[in-house]
Amino acid sequence: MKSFKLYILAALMLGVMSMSLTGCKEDKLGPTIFPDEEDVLDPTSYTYKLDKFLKENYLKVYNLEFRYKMEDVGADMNYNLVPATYANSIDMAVLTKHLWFDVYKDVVNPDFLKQYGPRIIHLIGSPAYNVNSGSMVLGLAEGGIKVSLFRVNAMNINDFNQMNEYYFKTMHHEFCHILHQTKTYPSVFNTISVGHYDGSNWQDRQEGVCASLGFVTNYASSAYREDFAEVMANYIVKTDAQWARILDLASRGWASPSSADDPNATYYCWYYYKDNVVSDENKAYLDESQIASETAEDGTVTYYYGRQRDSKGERIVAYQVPDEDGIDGVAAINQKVEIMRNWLRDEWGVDLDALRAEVQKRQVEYNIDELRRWVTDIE
Amino acid sequence: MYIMKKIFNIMAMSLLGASAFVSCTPEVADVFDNSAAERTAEAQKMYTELLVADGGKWQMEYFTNSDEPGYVYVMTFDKNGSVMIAGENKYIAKLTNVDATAPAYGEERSLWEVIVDNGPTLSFNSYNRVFHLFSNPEDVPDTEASEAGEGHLGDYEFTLMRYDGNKLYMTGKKHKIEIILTRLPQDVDDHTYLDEVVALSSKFFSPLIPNVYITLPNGARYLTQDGASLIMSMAPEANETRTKDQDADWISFVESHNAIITPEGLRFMEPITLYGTYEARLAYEAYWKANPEATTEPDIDHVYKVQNFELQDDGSLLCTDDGVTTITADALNKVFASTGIKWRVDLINSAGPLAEAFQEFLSGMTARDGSTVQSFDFILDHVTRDPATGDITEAFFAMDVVVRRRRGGTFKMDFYYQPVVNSNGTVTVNFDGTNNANANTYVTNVPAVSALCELLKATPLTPSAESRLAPTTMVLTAGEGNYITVNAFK
Repeated sequence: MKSFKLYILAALMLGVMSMSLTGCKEDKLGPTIFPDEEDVLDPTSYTYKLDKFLKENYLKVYNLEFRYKMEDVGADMNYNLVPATYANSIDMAVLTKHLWFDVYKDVVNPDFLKQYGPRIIHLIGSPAYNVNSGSMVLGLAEGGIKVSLFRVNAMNINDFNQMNEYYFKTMHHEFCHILHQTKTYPSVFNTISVGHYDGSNWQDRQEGVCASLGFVTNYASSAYREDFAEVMANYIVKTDAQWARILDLASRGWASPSSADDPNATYYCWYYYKDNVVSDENKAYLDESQIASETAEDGTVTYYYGRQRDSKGERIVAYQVPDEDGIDGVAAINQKVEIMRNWLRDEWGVDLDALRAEVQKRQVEYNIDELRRWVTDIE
Repeated sequence: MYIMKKIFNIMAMSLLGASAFVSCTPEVADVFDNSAAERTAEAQKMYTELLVADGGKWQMEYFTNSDEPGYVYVMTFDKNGSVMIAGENKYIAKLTNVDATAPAYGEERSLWEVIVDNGPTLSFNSYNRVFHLFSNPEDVPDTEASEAGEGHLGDYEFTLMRYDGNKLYMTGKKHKIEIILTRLPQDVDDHTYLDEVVALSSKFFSPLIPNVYITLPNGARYLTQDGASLIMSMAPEANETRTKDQDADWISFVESHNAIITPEGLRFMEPITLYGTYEARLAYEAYWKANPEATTEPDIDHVYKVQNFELQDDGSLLCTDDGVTTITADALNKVFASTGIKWRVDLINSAGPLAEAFQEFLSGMTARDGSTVQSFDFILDHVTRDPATGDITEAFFAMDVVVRRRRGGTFKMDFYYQPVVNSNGTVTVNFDGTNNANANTYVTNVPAVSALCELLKATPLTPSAESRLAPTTMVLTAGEGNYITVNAFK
């Protein structure tokens, strides 16, 4: 009997508990709690032409939201940032299409960026300063979804090198991050310069020294993945002369009169002996800008310390610092480019050199006034 | 059996507990008719319409941080999503000339939007050269420190808090400073309006009158300096309100508060706490030490919170928060006799026997030797100091008369005096010229010079000024229609 009571009680309890999980009335889904908003552009809006351009060329084609109106919640709130100017936003919108999206459309295929391109591009007017390190962030790629381009207000459309360094390179750099966040790159890449990365003090390293270590920029020496993205971005946007310069610096030896522990040491790839007297005490270093050269009839080139003369009236001979770091910087950079070339071809079906050729052509040939008409001619 | 009872009790309690989750009436009436998202959208729409209504023109009282004064902007919101922002300050001037120190006018059109963030938020979301310069994380050009990465720390997104008829109260989203928009008539000309605002600053405060006083409801005063910079340093005037220790360091009580000037008056960036007595300060500080998390102010006698001041007809500032506290210069006779201000006699705007006495001084000098008086200045001539502390022990004033000789060159006559500040508001200037060789020569030889000395000695002067806050021009009256005008100068 006792156990019967227990069963009844248990059954009763189950019944009540199951009731507690049910309602007395059937729930129906109501309308959305969000107000209905039509996605129609207002032709009277001040930004109608740009908005229409962005809608037609980014949103409809790539499902990409091109955010030129600053949303600080969409940025890292630890930084003090400001919006981009409206005029520069127009320039950046057309240049991004011309030098990035249209390149991939033409060189790879029209669907490539539809599938792998970012979903958001966010323009920010100022750089993001890292006050402690003294560096600044120029671009961010977040989770393969969003690319933030900083320093848009400092754009000088007439300064090709500045545009290349701060914007075009950043686009390809950040896109490379998106690509390798989607499909990882060969791990052998990370072994080429292992032991030479410096995540804390990369900004204090000289470009030439970095090149001799096998890095295309000093930022590349900050981490494996930045190295990877820098190889792709620099290879694509640097002109032949600029790329040759990187390899030239990579082939040099570098030395500093300061201690090897000095983070602010200046490195040189030339030296001379005071009064042409060869001895350790007389050894001094020279910046390349101070070098003059003379080619003999047999083709032998002799380097001098500008127009300086010793006490006998002779020109002071300059010597190249021997490359004794044990690293073949040129080979390392070429090896990285080769890995990049193969990875893009095998994993993505992208011809790196064709991509580079197209970007090189476009970035010297574009006419900003014509590109702006993509926006201003919209009715 | 005991175990059985226990099982029953547990089950019964479980049953009761379970039934508590069952409701026979699951539908609870909604407190609001609309969803939160819909209400936010409505607020967004309401604020958008509010901003563009009636021409959409507003004055913004903009503060960046506590180390800078507030800046006035005029903004005209257009329903097409653009806003014309006009300002007039020295940092706008520095956009084109980094060495500029005087304010310059600038205007630019950019974008605005009321967005939904943590509540409706006014966002100036495209860069405006004359406005976002205070948010730009670049080094501030006229400071020694490097502000790269921070800049002025001004906001450009503002959480909309409330609207009271013609004022929209907002809070900077990042730095939480209160920013006020005040509706302006749509026909206001931005440039003219801002010129007038800049001109107001010199009407309120003058660098020529370095000391002004905040007089609290209980009569205690704070000495305030640097009013013209709008970063006002202040400290209790009397030792009694600072400390019982008469030797306490005045500097340790100095605090600075930044303010903004608009046509309505002066507003500190945030309410400031002033103490009418030293005991009140102690009690107030003890309260916050004991209750660091408290959210309400303690009710302590002679503790005053002030923030907003309105310009009065007599040029003083009256606190609109308590209706009693004022900001003025010192009593005018003390201002005239203060060590830090020089006064030059303006005979064109003087009249009566006093003015005539000065004129006769002039003509008497010319008649004597063809010399011409250039100016009459009442100045602090020199001081003596305590060699140990450097404090002024005695101040020697003089009426400094600059005279041009007939054949060229100038010389000075110093008529030394000690101003007598009388309790009835008058001041007496008592000199005879005997302590200065040049002055003595002319006192002896030119009757009009000695006559002026005698007249001033016998005549208490009642000062008056248009502005009680910046009395840079004073009229010293000896009687009806009998006065001289003096102007402060550097």
